[in-house]
Amino acid sequence: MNRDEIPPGTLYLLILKTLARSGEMHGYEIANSIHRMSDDVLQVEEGSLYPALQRMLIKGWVTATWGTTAGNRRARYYQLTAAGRKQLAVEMSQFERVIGAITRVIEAV
Amino acid sequence: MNWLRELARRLRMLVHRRQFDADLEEEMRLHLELRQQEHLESGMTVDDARAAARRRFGNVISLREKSHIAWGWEWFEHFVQDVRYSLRMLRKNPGFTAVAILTLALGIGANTAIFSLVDAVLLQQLPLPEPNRVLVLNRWGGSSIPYPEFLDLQTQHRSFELLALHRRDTMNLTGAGEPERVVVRMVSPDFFPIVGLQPILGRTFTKDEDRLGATPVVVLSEGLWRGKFSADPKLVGSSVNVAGQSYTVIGIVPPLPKLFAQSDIFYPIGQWSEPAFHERGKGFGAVGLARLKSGVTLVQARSDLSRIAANLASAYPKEDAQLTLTALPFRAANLGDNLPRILLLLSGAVGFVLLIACTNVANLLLARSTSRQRELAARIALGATRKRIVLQLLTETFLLSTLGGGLGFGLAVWGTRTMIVAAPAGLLPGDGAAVDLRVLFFTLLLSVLSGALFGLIPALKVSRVDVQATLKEGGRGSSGTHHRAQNILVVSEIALAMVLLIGAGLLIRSLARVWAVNPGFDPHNALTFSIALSPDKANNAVKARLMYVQLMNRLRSLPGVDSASVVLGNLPLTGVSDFWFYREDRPKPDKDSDMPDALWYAVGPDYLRAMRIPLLRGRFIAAQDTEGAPAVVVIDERMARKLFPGEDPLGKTLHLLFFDENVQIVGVAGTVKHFGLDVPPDANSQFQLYIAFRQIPDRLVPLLTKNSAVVARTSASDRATFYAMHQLVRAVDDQQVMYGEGTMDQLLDGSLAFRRFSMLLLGVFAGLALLLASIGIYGVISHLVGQRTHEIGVRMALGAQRGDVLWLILGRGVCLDLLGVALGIAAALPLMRLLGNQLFEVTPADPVTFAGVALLLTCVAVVACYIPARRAMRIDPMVALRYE
Repeated sequence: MNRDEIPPGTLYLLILKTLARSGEMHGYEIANSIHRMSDDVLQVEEGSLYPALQRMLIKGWVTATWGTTAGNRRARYYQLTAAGRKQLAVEMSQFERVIGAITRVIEAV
Repeated sequence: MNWLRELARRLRMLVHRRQFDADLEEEMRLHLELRQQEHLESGMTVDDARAAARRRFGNVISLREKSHIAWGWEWFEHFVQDVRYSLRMLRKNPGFTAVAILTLALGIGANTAIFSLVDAVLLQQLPLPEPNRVLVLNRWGGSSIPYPEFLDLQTQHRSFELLALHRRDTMNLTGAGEPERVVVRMVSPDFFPIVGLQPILGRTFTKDEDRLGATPVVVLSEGLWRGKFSADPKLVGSSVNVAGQSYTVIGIVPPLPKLFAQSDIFYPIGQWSEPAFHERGKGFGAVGLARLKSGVTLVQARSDLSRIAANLASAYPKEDAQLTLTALPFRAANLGDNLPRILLLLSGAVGFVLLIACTNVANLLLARSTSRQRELAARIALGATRKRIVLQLLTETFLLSTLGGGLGFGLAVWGTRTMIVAAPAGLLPGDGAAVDLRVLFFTLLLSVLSGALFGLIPALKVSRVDVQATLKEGGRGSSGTHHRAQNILVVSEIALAMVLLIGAGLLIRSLARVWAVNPGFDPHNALTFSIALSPDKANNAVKARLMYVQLMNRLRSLPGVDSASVVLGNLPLTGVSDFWFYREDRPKPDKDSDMPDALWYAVGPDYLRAMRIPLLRGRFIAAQDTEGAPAVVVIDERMARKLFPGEDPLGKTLHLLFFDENVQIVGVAGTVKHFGLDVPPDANSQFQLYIAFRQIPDRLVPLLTKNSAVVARTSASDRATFYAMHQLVRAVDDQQVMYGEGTMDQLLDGSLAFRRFSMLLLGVFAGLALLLASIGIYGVISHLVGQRTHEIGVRMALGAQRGDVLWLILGRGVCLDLLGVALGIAAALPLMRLLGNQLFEVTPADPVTFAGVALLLTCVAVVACYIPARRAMRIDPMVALRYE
């Protein structure tokens, strides 16, 4: 199967959107979710989720609480905050603007 | 507010960063294990599953670090690490650490102590309201303002918001317990607002009270009120007895700002009934103080004063011809000439000491860096960046400088206190020089700066270490360049120490020369005290003369007293009271200021004997020179030479302006060093005249008795003698006060206090410099020996004698020393001129001092080198070679 690196700068957007869709998740679930939703196309270097999550914690976009998984393991669950929701909107519109622009460029005759 | 919350989150992470790291690790482990589980379930082997999970996850360690760094505390953690590491390094080398910290502490401490003086004297705001607008008036280059002129100034000036006149005097306070000599300050009403004194009880003077004939009133100082009157609030409104007159107390004021000598009683200056005080052209030591109107500049005020001076000159051509009036800012007027100069001198000296200290530490660091090259090379080889290494080394030096600064601050607190105690009275502003926050800040700055100074060069040098070469060379380190830097540092250290030692040497030699000067009298066993007659006698010429005669006779009969005389006018080394005179046989000069002037001593027949001043010609004042007899005078040798060249002064007549009398010269006495031993004979124009105290005109007696002293030649100058004199004075009249006891030796000593103080301080700093420089040269030579152990071993194995080795090492040290000495001499030649008037009969290029100091420094250097050289001499070639 062909797997592509995610475009730079979109990791935050993907995490934010994933969390927005499903509420609480731990790191492994987020990675899996991104992978699945992209029909196995988007390949995240899974470990890089964690530095990104730290930066989002600092910015106050997400909060983290320790909980227990279905398999009864301790895991850190991340949750979107109000600031995070706002940021998602910002990132979305930014992304759409960029994609729109790129599309216009490559579709121009 | 967002950034605030963010900062709070970051801080929380910093505090719990251990927990944070553990959490992160657990979270990542969970991730890896879950992924591995998934792979296992899809049928992989355990090893393959783990490898695949790891591949998908990425570099765990690097990711963990990235997550950690994201929080932005990397610099802080590095810093903490560096500090820990540095502390460990410093602890591992206790000798190096102790020497470095102590060296810095001495350098920084000396600078901080001197800065606290500079701060107190020159920088701190004066404790006056509107300090920058307060001026001292200046007339003819001096500060004494005659009262009528002050009144003219009051009506004519346009620049001042407040204008006041004040003078200090001492008087007897009687009628309240023991009679006591108190300090009276005569002031005009504006004095209080200018110096910022608000009465704590009652009020201060009104303009109306400040004139002749007004109700006699006084204001008391809080000190006197509490001490003598037990803070009785009812004292205001009642009366006290000062100088035999009754005054109503109208108020109590707090102590004066430290800038002024303390006073017990304030009195309206305009009420002072001394007739001469109200005459134009007579000063009486009254000082004019003014506060500028806001918006008026000093220059404007000065031109205003010049205008008034011109007015007065034309209105009173006799007294005030060519009068000059100007004003000085309070601080400038108050400082005098000496203090700023000595502070500059001392600042320079301690600056040198600090430079030497920094050089020393830089040298120690350099020496150590050679032996540390292997360690650093290994760290670089293991991946430390050069930036990290430099930062770590700088942390080490800043740690040293901070520790040194802390210790130095303690030394400075102690040193400042000691200096204030040791300083001559009146030189330093009392307890004003304290080590405060500003000084602390200065120390901090100094520590950081010196850290940068001594730390940067070694750190940069070390960071350029060649890893491969160093590791290959096996610990001996590359030599050559390091040694050159060390040599330069040691040479400059010696040069700096040389300059300081020469300075101290010149001052010491000056003081020795001053001590060798003959004062013109014999200060040994000459006692002196001031005496204040009771008011009824002080104001009556006949009674006063009788009292003095009686006193002298009774004093002489005390056991152990050889001779005694009263002295009015001047006592050598104390005040300056001079008057104009002219030769009666020559035309009278048109202007008073064209006449010669003389210090005058109104004394009894025993004065020369008591002071042991030689009588050169004719006779001295004798018992027959009484109030009725023809007035006589004895002149000093210098006057005889200058005023009667090729003539016989005996029998000539002088006219004394102050007395308005003719007096006949009957004798010539030796010239006395009135202004101190270190004042050249012709620095002051005044001649010296002796007159019989009994022949002072009646009208002047009440004025002159205010300042009367006694000198006595005794067989011993001890407390018992003073006590006996005290008893006697009280027995003759229990209303008179004896005060200011001392010996002429003490007065002479006091007149040299300033010179001794600057010599002492400079000597201490020069001693410090010598100590530090010798530590420096010792360190470098020791290091040299350590580095060359192998080489010396080879030389000895090849047949070199112990003596050869000794000379090899010693020669190196002496070479460095001589180079430093030469440089120091070159630097000292121009610098020593700055000592200026501190030198006495010693030229700034005094060859004896220069040679002596060079010799001293060389001896010290040889000793400092001999210790390591001896170690080199004892090297066992077998051990040295096998060691490699």
